[in-house]
Amino acid sequence: MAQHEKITIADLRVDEWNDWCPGCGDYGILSAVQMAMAETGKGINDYAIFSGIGCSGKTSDYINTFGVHNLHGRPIPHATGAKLANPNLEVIVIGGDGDLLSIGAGHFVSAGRRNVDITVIINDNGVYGLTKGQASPTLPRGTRTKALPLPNINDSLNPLALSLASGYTFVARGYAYDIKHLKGLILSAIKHKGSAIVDILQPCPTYNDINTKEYYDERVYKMDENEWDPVVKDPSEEREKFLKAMEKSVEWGDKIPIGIFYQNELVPTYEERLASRIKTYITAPPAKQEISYNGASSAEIKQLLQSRRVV
Amino acid sequence: MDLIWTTGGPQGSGIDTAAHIFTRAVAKAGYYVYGGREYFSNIKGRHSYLTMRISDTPVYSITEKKDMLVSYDAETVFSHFLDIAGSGALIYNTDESDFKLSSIPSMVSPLKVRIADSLGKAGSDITVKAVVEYLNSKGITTLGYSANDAVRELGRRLNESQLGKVRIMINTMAISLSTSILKIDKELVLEAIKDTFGTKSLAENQQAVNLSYEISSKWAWHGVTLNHMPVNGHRILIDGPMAVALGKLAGGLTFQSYYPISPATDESVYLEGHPTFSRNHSGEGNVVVVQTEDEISAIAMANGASLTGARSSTATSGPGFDLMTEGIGYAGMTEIPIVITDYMRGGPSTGLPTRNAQADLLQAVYGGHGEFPRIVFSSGDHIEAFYDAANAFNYAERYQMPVIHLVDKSIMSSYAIIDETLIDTEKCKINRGKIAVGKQDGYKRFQLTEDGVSPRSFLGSPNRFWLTGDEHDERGHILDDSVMRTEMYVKRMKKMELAEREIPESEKYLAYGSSSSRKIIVGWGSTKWPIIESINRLQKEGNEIGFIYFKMFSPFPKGVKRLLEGKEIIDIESNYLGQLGILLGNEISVNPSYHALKVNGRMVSASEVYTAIKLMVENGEKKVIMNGTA
Repeated sequence: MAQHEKITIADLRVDEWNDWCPGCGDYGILSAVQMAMAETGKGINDYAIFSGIGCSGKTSDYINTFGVHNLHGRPIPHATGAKLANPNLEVIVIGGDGDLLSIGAGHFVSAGRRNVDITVIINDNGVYGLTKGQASPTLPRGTRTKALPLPNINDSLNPLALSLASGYTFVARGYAYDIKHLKGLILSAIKHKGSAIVDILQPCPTYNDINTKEYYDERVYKMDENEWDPVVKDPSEEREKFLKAMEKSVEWGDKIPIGIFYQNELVPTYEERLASRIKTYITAPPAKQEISYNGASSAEIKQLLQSRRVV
Repeated sequence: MDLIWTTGGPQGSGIDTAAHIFTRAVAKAGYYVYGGREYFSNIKGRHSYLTMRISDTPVYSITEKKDMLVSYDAETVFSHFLDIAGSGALIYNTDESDFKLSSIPSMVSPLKVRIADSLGKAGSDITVKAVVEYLNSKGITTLGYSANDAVRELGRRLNESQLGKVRIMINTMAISLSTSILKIDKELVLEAIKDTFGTKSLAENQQAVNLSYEISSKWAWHGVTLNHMPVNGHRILIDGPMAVALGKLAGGLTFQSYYPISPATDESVYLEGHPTFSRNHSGEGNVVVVQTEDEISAIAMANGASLTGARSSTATSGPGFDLMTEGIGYAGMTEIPIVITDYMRGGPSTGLPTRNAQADLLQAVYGGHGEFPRIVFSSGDHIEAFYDAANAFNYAERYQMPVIHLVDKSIMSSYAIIDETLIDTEKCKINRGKIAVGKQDGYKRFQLTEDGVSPRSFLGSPNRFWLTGDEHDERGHILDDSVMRTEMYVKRMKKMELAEREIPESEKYLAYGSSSSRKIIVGWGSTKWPIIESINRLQKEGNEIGFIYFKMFSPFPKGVKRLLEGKEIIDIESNYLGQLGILLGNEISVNPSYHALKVNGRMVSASEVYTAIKLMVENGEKKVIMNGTA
């Protein structure tokens, strides 16, 4: 990895006017992400942020590092391609619950099966804000947020249970207005070896008049670190901790837990799986190969041709 | 020397392997072979067949009339006997002599009706025996053997009482009957078997081949034989996906993503199976192949990989190509170099998943919302496909845009014996285009430049950038400003003008035959060799006719207008609309007067193209529908 100086939060800020609504949870998430990025010890150029579409998608524009703003629903596969082509990158995906869990749900589930070493942050506010407040996949059935003509007809899905079922090896929930706690979760997610999910409860002050700051402030509580150990340290603990996390993930209502639900670094990452097939993958990943020599192709395919030799 | 040899059998019964062995044996005898495989969308049981053309000179097309039909099942006899040449031969299994056309369950009904109609009999009256009598009445040689007797005899010689274990060699035995009468040395067949299976069961196969040569020694065959010819250098057996895959490796591919789809999958599977290779002066090379959850993800992953500086691509077919459209537009908007190989199959919708078509051309050129720059080009044979697949990355990186490489399914599923030296990576030049090297103050990824191309930077490099599918400023930040919108739009689009200026004419189209003929043929992709062969044949008959073979469609080679203006244009394509003809009209205001079109999904043969040209040129027919099944 390249030499770099220690970075500060100020280094990660950009000189852009931020056009989120006043009081939007995205601000807290942006701050927590920047704070976590400054604490990992990595350089600015080591990061790549892949964001989705919608208000949260603009996050990549507001961080002073490589920022890739994607098609709706597609930040995970774009990020996966980049990470696998250059595994030295520190890749963070930021998308809304509609982006990642509705239009991008297929990618969300499949990423869990791969366990690529990336961090996925879900800005989870229950509504499609930028299109003026339609119900998103995490809004409960029967709920009528203020822009809905009728109460929501669909059931909501549980992002944590879905993450666990999909195979994510780090599953956490944070709260956009507890920035310090959230920063800790994001930092742990970045440091985690494998695919990490941080689902972030986030009010939309403009369109979600139900799951407001007041709503969450009353209900959210941090899981007690003395009683709750989500980390799988041995394969024998896998089943028990997975089931406990699943059970915990359905706790919702008067009390809403935040913190790390599950972490398992014993599952090989996709990069490790590739390296076991391709010995040179880590030393010569796709982005780092010298593909030409004297202006011509450096690939030597003679052996492949000879294996097809007939005469 | 020109011989058409066909074999068929139920899909999954080893017919493809048997044809491979035959091809290798013939190649070892010094001949070139080109062959197409036709198959249903099915795993086991439906009729699959291969038509191999054997020649003493390189050949890249097939013709319809079969000189030799090799079979062991009744369905193969029924399906193809009408195409046997007058001087040809049928090798058939006498055990199935009494099988009736009407009682073959795997045959599609309309085909049974057509065969019955052509003989003027009821399907229940048409047996293999009746077909043999019919062929004999036409002077066609019929050579029968009993597969059951052969299997029993082979079992006796191998001391194998479980005849099921012996029966799996029936394909090998059937093709050996044909190599025997073609006078190909038995040893070459055994070498071909060894090439295919290794030394496993070699002794058993040797006995099988010996028995076939004994059985056929009693047959009278007065047709063509394949006398051994000396071979200079080496020759290889190559198929379409392999040609493209090797071309991609030569072109610097290091990342490929795909979702399984017929007929594109073979290319990615080949790459996945050969992930490492050496690199001249830089140690080991490798390619990472990722099987994705869908084609949307496949194009997105390839885009993401490209942002790191890796040369990346994806391969798909029609329905998958549809799903990629948004991602291709994203690459156009964000100026990501990316290569998409589209193996064209019969559409629309699921269409004919395993059959040929050239109907994705207009989609490739115009598909997607909004407007974005792209290169669209195609290949006409395996060797072209190799070099084009390599060069596609140069186009992509030089012009920083998606490159769509169209490959006909019929090239994909064809085999060719070619001289090994024709595939030469040293001829594959690498041009990575403009790259910002070293730390550059005030670097702007989308800097407005004279030619529209801005120096690229890679994720992880010292020159940071933002990137968005929204309209953006020079740094890549989202920006909705009326003036910058126009400037950035023009910058993107004018790269097309640069590509049009820079790319040599020879990479866009090639002229064959007469340049002064009043009529001139246009075509592209897999019809290249059938058309070249037809105009050569017509020339020998005293009919001079020209052919413009198109390779590039976007940017459209406007310079071709001078060759087409004032001519009567004959458009030959495997689609209904005459899509190349539509492009000619749109781009250079030249419209075809004649069309020979084919939508039945089977590969275009040289003989049907010849016939179609004759109908247009001599009879003045404006539209000919080709319906060959060679």
